Amino acid sequence: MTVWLGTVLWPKLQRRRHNTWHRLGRWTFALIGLLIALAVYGTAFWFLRLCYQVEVVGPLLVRRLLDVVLLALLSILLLSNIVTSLSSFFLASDLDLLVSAPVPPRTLFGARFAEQIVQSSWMVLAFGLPVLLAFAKVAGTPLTYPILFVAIPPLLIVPGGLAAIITMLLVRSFPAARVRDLALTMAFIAFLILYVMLRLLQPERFINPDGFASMVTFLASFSAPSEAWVPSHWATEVIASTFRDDAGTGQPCLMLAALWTGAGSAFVISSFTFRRVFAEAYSRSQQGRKVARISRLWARLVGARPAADGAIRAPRRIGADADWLRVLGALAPRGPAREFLIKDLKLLVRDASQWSQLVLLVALMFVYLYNFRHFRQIGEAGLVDQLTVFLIGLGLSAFVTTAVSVRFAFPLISMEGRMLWLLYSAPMPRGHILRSKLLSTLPPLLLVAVVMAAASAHILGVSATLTWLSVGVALLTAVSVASIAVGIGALVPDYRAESAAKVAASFGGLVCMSVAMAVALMLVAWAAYPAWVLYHERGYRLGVLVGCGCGALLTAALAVWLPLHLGTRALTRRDLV
Amino acid sequence: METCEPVLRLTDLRKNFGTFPALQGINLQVNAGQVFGFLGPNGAGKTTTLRIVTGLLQPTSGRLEICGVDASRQPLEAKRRIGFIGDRPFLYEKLTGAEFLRFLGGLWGMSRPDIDREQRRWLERFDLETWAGEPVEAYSHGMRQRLLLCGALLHSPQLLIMDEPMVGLDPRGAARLKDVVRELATEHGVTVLLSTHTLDVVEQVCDALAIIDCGKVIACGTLDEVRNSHQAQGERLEQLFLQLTTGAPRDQPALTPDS
Repeated sequence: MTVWLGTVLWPKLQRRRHNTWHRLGRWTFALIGLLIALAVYGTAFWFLRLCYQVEVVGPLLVRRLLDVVLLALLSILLLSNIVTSLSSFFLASDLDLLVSAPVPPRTLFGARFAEQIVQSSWMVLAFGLPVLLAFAKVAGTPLTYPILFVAIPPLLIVPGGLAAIITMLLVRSFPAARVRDLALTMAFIAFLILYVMLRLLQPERFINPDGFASMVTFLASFSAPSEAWVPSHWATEVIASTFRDDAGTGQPCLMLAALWTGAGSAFVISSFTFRRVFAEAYSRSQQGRKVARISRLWARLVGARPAADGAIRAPRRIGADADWLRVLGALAPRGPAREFLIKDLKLLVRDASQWSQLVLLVALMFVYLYNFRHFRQIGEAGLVDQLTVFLIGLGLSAFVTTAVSVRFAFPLISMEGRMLWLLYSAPMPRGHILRSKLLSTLPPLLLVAVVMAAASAHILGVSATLTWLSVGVALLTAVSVASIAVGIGALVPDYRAESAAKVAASFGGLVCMSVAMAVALMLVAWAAYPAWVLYHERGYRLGVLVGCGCGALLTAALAVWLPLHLGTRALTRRDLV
Repeated sequence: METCEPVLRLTDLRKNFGTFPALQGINLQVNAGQVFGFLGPNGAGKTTTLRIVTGLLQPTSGRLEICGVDASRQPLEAKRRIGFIGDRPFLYEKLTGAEFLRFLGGLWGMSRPDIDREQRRWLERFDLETWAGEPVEAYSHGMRQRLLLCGALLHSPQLLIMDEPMVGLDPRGAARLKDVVRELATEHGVTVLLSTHTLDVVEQVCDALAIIDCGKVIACGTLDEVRNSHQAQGERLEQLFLQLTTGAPRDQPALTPDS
């Protein structure tokens, strides 16, 4: 009566096989994925070759960059695993079925762990692997390629194990405050870990050699094992040992052993933790879904007395947040748009899986802006000129805006799910649903875009006119990508999805991300010539300038009109089943 | 088929949610071959009890035995003897009915020939054989309920636990389910623990019943025994239920999703 790991994983694989959209889109998916991977590889190759050619310190610089990239991958994987493990071990809708079945704990853990690793790592790998291959091409030898495939898997397992342990211990420790408190705690822990890891690395050190007392110190800092306890550093040592210019002073075998024993330990310890605490944690995770401890703390803060019978009840003041949100609703015009905005805001505030990601997003934006100042040093170090850095900054801001819109605007129609009957039966054209969704998305997205663009420009210390240019591009980008996200979201909705995060991470989400990113990069490209003129303060060709402006406006107009038109048509033609 | 061997025995079962005592010492015995009705008002602790029996919740204290197996010491052995249909059961929408059953058989450690044989048997019994190759998302509510029943019976459980199985079924579906429940008990020897608000169903199919309120069993036995012990001879179960549960505080906070 053995239950195999494959048995528990099987429905997930079958679900993918039966997913029509997935089946139809397999080749499109592969093609788009290949194009994105090529673009990432090309950009990384160009940049790394530039760095490698810097005299004397080039190879060391590339090695240090590898350390940065692997640490960033590890951080993102840890964040992603923490978010996924909560869903995988405690929120997934099939857990009742699996937990009530006589599945041995090690099998259940193995299946959930594998699922968590795949879900949280595939996208990171899809973008990370081309970068690592570029490292191998620029600095490596033929041996580097197979070594990559030996050194990277442990980097996926270690954060997975850590995240599973953290999640299980936290859920076990928060008996009545399940989702809200937990999500908040995890978001902040993840943010802290990410921040500390980034700061530990001090990326600014290797960008500006002038900041060092001497070249000797500079080189010493490159080779110092400053973070010997971080697995990404072990992976760097292993991979870099196959580089052409490696001095051969490292201990790659020891590091490889450390990597795999680290991964093994993470798996064994998390499996042990699972066997010890999961039953209790899962039991506790079902308690207090509606009445969270945070509400009791709030009740104490506002002086509400506990109920005489000792029963836990949500304090009455909690209801007041509805009024707050109605005030925010004034951001949208009166009518359906305003009601959608208020409703979506309420759902966002009350759904911990949603707002915890918002907290994470703000944290990541902060980290991004904090570290963006080092881009200025890249320019000052002469690796690339300031104008290129400015355009890269514009592109990165657009990327963040696009990611936010795909995460929050793309799932909006899908999340209406089975409530669509209500919207469809309401006395309004179906096109209004999309327009209302767009209007309710725009204010926060515009805010994110403008803050990111203005802050990046300020950090780079560019002129006021260039700052205005970047704000203009950000505004156009925000409107365009929001329309694309809402429109494509209506074209390929997933009404049965368990969460908005899953919709955003679906194939449709990836297509949306690719289209939105392409449009955002086109807008940045239209801004390149005006930026060049403003930066160099030279004479300009009026015709080219006007052409760039018209091109940008046309691109944005098309990006707004076409997806909304197609989305509206899809909504109008689709029967509600 | 009814014998006096206890298939399910709960001894002083308690469950606290924070400071709120959801179960305050449940004592219950369900004998082999019985169809046992488990009644109570909303928030009384029915679902909490059933979720503890199925291993989804852990009790704060007390003892739980399933077919003589101590569920706290041998949870897997205990689970092997149970079939469970929850009040809001999960189905993989993208799997076909046959694939879903094959998956369940795998979870219960059944061999492939056994799965095939039992799957055919139950799909035919519940008129689902022509739909077996269709994805679950195309099924109606009644078909889903029947598929769940197939899944719960696939591994020949000794104890079948059904939480609100009548919800959403049309009169024909409900009547069919009642027939099936009786047939399972009388012809297949399956003990059925049935939680429901439909008191007519309890009157028609249950051999014994327990009424739970505020986390305590307030009445237990055959319907006649319960009537006699409360001087309510000849009364309908509905009147008796209302009489026994009137005056108790209602609408406790929803500490679990399904309580």
